[in-house]
Amino acid sequence: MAARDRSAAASCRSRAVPLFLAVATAACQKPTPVRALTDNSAPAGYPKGPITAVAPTGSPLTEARAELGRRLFYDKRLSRTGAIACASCHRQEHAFADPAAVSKGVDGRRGTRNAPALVNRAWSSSFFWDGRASSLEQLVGHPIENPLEMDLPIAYAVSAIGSDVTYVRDFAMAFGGAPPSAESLRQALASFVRTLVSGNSPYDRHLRGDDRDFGPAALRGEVLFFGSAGCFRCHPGGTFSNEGYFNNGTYVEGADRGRQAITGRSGDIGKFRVPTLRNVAVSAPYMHDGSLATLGEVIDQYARGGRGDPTADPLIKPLAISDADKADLIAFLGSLTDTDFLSDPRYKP
Amino acid sequence: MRSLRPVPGTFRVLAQVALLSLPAGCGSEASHAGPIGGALPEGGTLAEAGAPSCPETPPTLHAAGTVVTFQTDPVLGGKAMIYGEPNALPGGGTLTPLNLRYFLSNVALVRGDGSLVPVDIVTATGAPEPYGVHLFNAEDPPSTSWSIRAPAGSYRGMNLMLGISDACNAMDNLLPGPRYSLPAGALGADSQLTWPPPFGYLFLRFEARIDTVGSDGGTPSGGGIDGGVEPISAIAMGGLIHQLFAPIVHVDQPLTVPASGPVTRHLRFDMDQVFKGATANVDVSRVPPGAPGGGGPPPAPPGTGETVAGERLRQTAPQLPLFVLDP
Repeated sequence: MAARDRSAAASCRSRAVPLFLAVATAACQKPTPVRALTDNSAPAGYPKGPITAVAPTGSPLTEARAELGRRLFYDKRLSRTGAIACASCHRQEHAFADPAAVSKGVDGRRGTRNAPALVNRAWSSSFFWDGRASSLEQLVGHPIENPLEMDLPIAYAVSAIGSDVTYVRDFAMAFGGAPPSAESLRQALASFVRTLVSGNSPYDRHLRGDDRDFGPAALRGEVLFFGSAGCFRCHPGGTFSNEGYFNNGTYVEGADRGRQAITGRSGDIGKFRVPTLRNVAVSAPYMHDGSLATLGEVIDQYARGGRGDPTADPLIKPLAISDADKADLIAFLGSLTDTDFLSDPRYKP
Repeated sequence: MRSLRPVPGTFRVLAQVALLSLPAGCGSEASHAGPIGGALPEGGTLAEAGAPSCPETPPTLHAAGTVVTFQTDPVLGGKAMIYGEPNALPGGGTLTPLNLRYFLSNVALVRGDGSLVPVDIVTATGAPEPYGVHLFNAEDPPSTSWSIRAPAGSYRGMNLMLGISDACNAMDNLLPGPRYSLPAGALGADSQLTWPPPFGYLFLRFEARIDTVGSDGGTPSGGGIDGGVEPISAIAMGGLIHQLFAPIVHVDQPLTVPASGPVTRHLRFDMDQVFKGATANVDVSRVPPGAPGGGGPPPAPPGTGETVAGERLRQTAPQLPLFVLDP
């Protein structure tokens, strides 16, 4: 049974209280149609077009590949111990982020950075906090092989999949008859991640003229966000990330050097990728190291002008933010939560 | 063209407050076709002078021209400025560029008689750049080369729009609302030049870390670059849609376009002149209240004033030799 059918059926079962049994049974005979993974289109602020249009030429996005990727995303056989799946650290209810400051990998090993949310990554061209991957296909292989995460050579992962007749059949269907390979494994996982599109938050509806879920506090917060608080400089409207690398004042001497480890440039010390703020209210903790537990702490840090290291970007300056301003900013950031995305049955195991 | 009317929610308020709060006289500039600061070239035929739209595929002007590529390198104190690394300042201390990007568009070559020959902005292979816009990004080496396709001939110079036309800045879909969508490529969010309405895109963005301690551990002896101009750490040059336009800057060195190519020339982007413009003593009252970095309510962010620096640069850029073509 396809995931979306299973989900629809489960949903029906939960609603089928005896009093309405007949009605519920009739309704459940035909599961509610659910959109395909590849049906997603660009949210507000992104280049218009279907999600399939932004997949690279060499890795076309098809429903078969995305569906295969969804199953792989939840498959713990992609880790050395069989205990960790991608979804172990990228949890849907947290916008595919990890509520732990740093994630726990195989044998309880701890990573060094916070697992970022996976939201609207189809439109990005660099990945990880330090930008060391330039495509989703590159990205997905790193956690599988990273000793602190899943610790499994890709070849072993391919072997594990190749011993599963269902996978072999479905890879053949998705990849022109070919058996699973490292390349097709990466492409399938990347295809699924590419379909993770969030675009129906109260903010999105606000843009469409529907302010029923966008209250006065969110409106005031929006003014601050796109005005005096200056958040927009790195988090422009729509995408809420300019895809750049900045030292936002979190770095202190001796800590993770971030982007500099990739470029070697001394000016890149402490720079990390700007994350999107879509669904930020449910993807705590914050910053590359997960060192800030709440949005309030994040705003407080910016209001202080960072942690005081001289390498911070020159735009990081102390801000005069009152408690009321802070509450309004948090309300606005909360308006970026897309509950449909967080519970979308298409993304579930 | 973008209108302020359909803007939802707060953006509408911000936009209207900003426009209504402009000093007297600013509104009348909306009827002027050209950039403020005398930047519209004589006999200009650039898009700013009346082009009503910003097509993704601009019309080809010279299908049979020669492709000329300009390798553009920022210089500081007469030396190549190394991106992301400390660059020594003449007065002591260092400047580490952390971000330098700007748009180039609406290029025209200047004939000996002063008449203009608008040319195509193309990729090195001759394909048109989307929207006729090139994004220079110091962090992205390929972007530091940009090309035109031009008819053969000898020219006394070149005009460049340092930014984008008002038509491109005011596309309907750029305004948050039901149709809100940014283009892919140079005008996308990852240009880092998007700016909240009604300010449109930034035309230029610069950030740097300036360490003022001299190599001997003391403070610099005074004097920065180019006759005492002090470098500044942040510049955000932008316009106000339909009100304040991208400047047209002049390259005053001769350029010969041969009958066949391709040809590569080196162009210097003089940061000393950028700082000179960004610290010039000009009237910045046109930076609208509410603009990030501007004065008046809503309260401006403290500290940086990068938008004011950008406005100073915007006004003075047409008079400054920002770009110099090497022989």
